[in-house]
Amino acid sequence: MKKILTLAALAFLSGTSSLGLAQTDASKPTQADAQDSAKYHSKYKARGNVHSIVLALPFSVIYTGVTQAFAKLELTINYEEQTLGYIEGGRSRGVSGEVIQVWIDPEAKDQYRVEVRNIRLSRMGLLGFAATKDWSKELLAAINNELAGRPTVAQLQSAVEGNPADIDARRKLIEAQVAGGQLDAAVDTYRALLARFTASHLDRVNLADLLISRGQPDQAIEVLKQAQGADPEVTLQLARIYIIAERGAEAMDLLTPLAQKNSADLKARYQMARAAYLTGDVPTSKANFASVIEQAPQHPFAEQSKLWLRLLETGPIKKPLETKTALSLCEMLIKEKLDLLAQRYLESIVGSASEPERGQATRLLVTIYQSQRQYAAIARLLEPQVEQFKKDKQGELIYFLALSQCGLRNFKPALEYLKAAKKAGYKTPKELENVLKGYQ
Amino acid sequence: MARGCLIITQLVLLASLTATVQLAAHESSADIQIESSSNKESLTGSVRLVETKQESEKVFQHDIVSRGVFAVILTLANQSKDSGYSLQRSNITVRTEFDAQIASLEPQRAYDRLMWKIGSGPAFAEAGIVRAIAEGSRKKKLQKSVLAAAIGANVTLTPGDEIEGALFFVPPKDTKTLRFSTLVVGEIINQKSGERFPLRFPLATQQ
Repeated sequence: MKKILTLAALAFLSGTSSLGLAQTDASKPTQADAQDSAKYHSKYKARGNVHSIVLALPFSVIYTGVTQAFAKLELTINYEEQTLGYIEGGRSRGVSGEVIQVWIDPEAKDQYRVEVRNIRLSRMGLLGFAATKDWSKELLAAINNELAGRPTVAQLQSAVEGNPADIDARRKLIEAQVAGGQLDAAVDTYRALLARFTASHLDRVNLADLLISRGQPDQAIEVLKQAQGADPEVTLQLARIYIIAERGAEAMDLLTPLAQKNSADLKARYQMARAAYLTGDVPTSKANFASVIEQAPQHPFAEQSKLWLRLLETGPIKKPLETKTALSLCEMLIKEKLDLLAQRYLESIVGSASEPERGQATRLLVTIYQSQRQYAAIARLLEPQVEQFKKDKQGELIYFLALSQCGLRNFKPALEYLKAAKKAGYKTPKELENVLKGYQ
Repeated sequence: MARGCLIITQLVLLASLTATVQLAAHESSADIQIESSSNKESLTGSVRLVETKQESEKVFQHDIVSRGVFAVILTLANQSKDSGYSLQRSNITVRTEFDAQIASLEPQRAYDRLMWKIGSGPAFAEAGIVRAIAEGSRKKKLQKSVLAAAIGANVTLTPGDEIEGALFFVPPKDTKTLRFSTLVVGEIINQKSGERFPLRFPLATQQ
């Protein structure tokens, strides 16, 4: 033990006094590296020399495979940028460590290239450096192992046809279809599953969620309406979707008996108050919001009810919505995860209102698009105004534009917008800037 | 119950032959009973929310909360004599009071998050011996506490079995507490009858 400590102290001294931070990466080949024919210089210069594999799997499957491979090798993931397909991690070994960077880039149709770069770091100079290792090949092998034998959608389809009574086979097919962006097919598979397994609550709820994420609340309603049994949670869920679909009267029909049956059901009462506002029934709305505040003053519903009551002071909802009212309403709808409804109102404001309301609506709309990964919509909305944003120091909006370009894999403009956002006073994350440099 | 304290919700569940479980009348303090009419087999469950530094240190000997990770300790006991139950961790979510759904984090990813940025820099690029030692010590501690406490990816409860395990969640930025949320086990399968049903555990009683 004494020997180890002495050695460590010596190494530390030598490291700090003369050698400093020893750092190598795959771009400075060692002897072992020279024998490795798989290593090559990435087309993205900043990445240096990398190892890689090409996989014909959906992006999200590969991404998960990479994270699982890190876990298998007991490597910690320290930073990730899922939109870009970038993962960075490593493993410290006492006083030395390794940095492993992985990029997942589209290669061809339905193909992705996984590039791995390994950097070895040590505060102890060469002694410490000797304690590090290059994980590139091991990691690629682990990724291969994780993803090997992953069935294709066609194989999963055959498995379902071969054993239609197997619900898990159908779920695996849906998972693969969703991962591959085949959402229409996933909806069809869900419908076929529910036709056979009508009582599957999990799949019914998941299908409804999928339909809402696709902006199809009416179809989601039809799916949930067919749920078996009297589950109050499903009723509440259904009422919520009626509100999203601007079918407030039907929401009221569901919620009124629920709230009457159990006066302590805070959620039913709150939802009823909200639905009543959206149908223009001010007295019912006011009474129920007041009741929520009285019943549970510490609950987030009470805090939110106060905001709704303030909105109600402006009178009943009238369509088309007056801009200021609509903006206040949208802020609440977003907080309450009724994004789809807020999106409709905001798109109408952005198209018609003048500043400063237009700017406020733009900001809210962009946050919704961002959460839904609608990158092209963000670019369409913001790009024509970017020069104005620069003049007005609207750094946050320029930053959203940079993120949208990341999502669209336009890395050069993404980096430019990121810098412009910084210049306009927005505190951009340094890590993102560094990651973007890896695409130059 | 004071904000931030450990919240315990006891549930007694009787699995129903229909796919639906219904909330029954009994609801006092933190107790909720879920009943069905016909099945005598039963599952007993409880949840504990860990969302304060103090509770986290008590449960995991480590502050996971300041790293943005909350935990729910789920306990399930199968009191039936002849029916097994199974569930998958990937089907467990937290549904907030405003219906945002938070998927449970893979234990390894929770561990990764806790290993982030020890000291002043990233965990892998040590800034010196002291930090490296701190990192090594934390690594061992977290492997023993966080990773070891996590609920398995697939859980099977044979008759008479009881399991307890942690689920980890990263709440959205605007969510300060999960005590008004519900833990949703999207599907539990009765292995004897093949029945599939959801279970929901409020993380606190309504206030």
